[in-house]
Amino acid sequence: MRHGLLCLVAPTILLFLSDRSAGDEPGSSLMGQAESNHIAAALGCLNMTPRDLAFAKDHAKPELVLEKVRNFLYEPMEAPGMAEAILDSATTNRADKLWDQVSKLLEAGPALSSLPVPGDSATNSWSELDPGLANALTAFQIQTAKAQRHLTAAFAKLTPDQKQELGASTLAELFNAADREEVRDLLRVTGLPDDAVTRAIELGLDIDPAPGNDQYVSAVRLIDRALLLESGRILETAARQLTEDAAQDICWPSSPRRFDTALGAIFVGTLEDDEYGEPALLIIDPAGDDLYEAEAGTANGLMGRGLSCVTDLDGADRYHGQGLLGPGAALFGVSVLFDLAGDDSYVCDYMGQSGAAFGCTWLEDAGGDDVYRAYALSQAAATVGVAVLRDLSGRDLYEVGYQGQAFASVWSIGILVDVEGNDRYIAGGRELDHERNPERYLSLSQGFATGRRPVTGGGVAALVDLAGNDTYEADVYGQGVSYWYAAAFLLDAGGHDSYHVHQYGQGSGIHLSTGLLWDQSGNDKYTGFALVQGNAHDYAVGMLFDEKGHDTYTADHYSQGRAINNSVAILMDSAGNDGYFARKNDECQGAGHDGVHREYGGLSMLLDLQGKDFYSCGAKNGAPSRRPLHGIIYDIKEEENASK
Amino acid sequence: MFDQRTAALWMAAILPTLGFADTYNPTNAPFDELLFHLQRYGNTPARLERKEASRQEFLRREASSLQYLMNQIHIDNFWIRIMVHQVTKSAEDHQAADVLVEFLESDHEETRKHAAYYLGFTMAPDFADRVLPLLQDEAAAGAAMRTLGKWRIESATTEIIPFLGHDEERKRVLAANALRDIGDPRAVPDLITSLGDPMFTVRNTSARALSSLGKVAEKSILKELKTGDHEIVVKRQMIRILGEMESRRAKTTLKRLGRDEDPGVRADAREALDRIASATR
Repeated sequence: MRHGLLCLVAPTILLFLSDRSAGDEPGSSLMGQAESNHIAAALGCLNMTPRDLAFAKDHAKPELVLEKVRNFLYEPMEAPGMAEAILDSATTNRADKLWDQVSKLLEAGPALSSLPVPGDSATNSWSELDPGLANALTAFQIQTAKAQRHLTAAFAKLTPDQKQELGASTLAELFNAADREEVRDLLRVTGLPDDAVTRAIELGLDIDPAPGNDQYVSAVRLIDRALLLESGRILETAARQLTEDAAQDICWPSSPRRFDTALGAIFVGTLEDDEYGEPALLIIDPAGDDLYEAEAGTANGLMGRGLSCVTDLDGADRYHGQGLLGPGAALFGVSVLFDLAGDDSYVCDYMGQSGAAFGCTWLEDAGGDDVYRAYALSQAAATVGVAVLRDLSGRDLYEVGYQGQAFASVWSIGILVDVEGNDRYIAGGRELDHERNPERYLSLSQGFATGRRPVTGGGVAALVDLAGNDTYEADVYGQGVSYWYAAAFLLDAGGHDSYHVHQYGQGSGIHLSTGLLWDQSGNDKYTGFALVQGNAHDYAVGMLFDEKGHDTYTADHYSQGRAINNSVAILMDSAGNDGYFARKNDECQGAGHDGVHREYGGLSMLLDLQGKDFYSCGAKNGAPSRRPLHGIIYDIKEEENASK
Repeated sequence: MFDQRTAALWMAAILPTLGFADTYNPTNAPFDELLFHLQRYGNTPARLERKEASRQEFLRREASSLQYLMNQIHIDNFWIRIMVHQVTKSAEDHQAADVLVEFLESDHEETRKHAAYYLGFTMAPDFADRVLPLLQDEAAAGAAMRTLGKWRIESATTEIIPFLGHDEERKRVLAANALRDIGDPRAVPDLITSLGDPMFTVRNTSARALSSLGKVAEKSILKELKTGDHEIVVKRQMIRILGEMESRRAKTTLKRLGRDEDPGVRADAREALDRIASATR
């Protein structure tokens, strides 16, 4: 039986633990010399130079802004460099590289080394367990003590009241506690008492947002990002080592075992189908179709359970979160979830599946065709913290109501990496976009980053899909779109992909932020209604780069390389016979804009570097066309491309 | 004021949840209550209805609405600014201007700036003397330039021209636009200088200002092209302006520039000539 298990798990373990050989090949450069030359040439047609991209856009004064994110407003062509760095770190399939990248993006700096050196804090006796497993648990427990010390230090300057205020203001708004009694009930059992929630709702309703904003900013400033990140890194590394050790020749118990530690319970499962419903420091399960529900797999520092780790080696497992926090959620804590094999189902009634609020989460699913479903703040979504979701194989389905599938808010990083398979990403259907599109839904997903306008900047979000014919469906805000001093990316490295969004998306920067979509290959379809496909609005930067394939772009207005209200918008398609279709041609396809009452323009560029292309606005293939108000369609002859 | 707001919040948000009847009547509602409903997220049909009813009531109360809203405009709540804009545009010019002008000397720089800005949406040039001093106010100077431009206050020209060299790009843009609106030919030499600005936003707005200035600008640009030694970017801007003006007097100069060593200059000169030819056909 033990050898049988090993055989079953081993191929996945290899993928899980080693570098992905195919990923060692260097990716193509998004902004190589040729592309830069073409952009310079297109600008030259407008009597401009790349220096003009730096026109003033940084006009607000929010706090908690990531400097690289702000800098994109000055140097828009630095954004592709960040996209490449994220893609490279995702492609290596090495967790340490991804942590390093996250640390850079979060501008966290090194964690303080002045924390006390942990001693041997393993206090449990595992004598009844297989010696190999016992040793692995001992090593793991020592690391958890270290992770806990970092976690405690990360929030040490916050008072309990401040933690409650931060948690309440974030989650009460996210799930609309003002109108939903059931949410207030759930907040209460999550450690957020009624008075904190009521106060948060009142502040949210105040005509003057300053008191609530000041309270929020001053509290967030007290959080040590570097220590929080380090706590996550320690726990993830420890869990990975434990998983590797547990995949060796282990004799698993015939009935589940529980060991209580100072940091929470440790459950050791069996080869059969097990069920877990309690909060735990660690749940380790070797096989079987297991059920994780209630508070299993959740980290909640408000309840004194700041660390949570699940490692499941095999089986078609179900992770069902019925509370506000579901498996893979972290609130003032760190959550790590490894699932190595099986067609798994992740369902959260509210948040989870790598969802962090003032915390750090890492979810890694190494095999199987998986289903992820959640309401919000899920599937690599973070606000003040870090959330990573890696799915290494299989045809996966991701569904989220909103704020998911690589979402990052204030001081946070959200990265979703799907390595292979034909995947579907669906975002929307839960919260209507009441005041703008009352019959449409907010998505805020699939590479979406946002600040809290006007008071704080946002983070960096990246949805990275490395292979497969993928489908992306969002409604309002999705697919490499940003809002207010934030940066968001959707990076798809292979396959024939379909992108659909109604408004704001597909490489879109909105209000002083930067959004980018980069599709490296395949015959792709982009459809949308407004402000899509390399577009930007209000001192923002939006870019869509499609490198290869015969692609089709369809939109209604304000799309396809169009900047409005003093922004930079670039749609660059480097190869293939492409079609650009718009209903309002004078509001798409490189058309400029005069900024309405501001009465000055931005930069609108549609560049197509190869192929026989069609433009519904009537622009010719093989010749640059100046567009109204200082915009351009830069389509060139094949030989001109070669000469660049 | 906070107490009134708290009361409004209590009335509007809390009472209905305690089972009290929905009694919102915008006609009798105090301004704080109107503003509360205006800025509240309209995520239910009732809230959307109240939002719209509040908006209509603000519009109906005209000057008194504006007075109330301008007293709040330093608060960083964009609904207040949206409503000020809407009331200003819907009210009679002088009704709105009479209110706005009283806020030009507010202690809050945000208030001064917005008062100056929204005055530009009224036609009240007789208040120019009240706005002119704001050109010395770093926070409000941009808005003041815009408004003085919209009012075509020629006496502001010489004070606005120096802003073409201001450190802030947006002030340079606002200056170019204001000078275009005023239409005073004294601005031509400085606007030509701005054709070499580091940022296209300033170059293009300056070019547009020169285009709208007509013959005086045409003459100066032709002279510059004949005698001046300009960077290519400036030369191309001037060529484009002549094309925009459909300047027949420029044909000879443009033909010469059609043989320039720079391909951009050549292309722009040919395009300008085509444009002039089309206009004269």
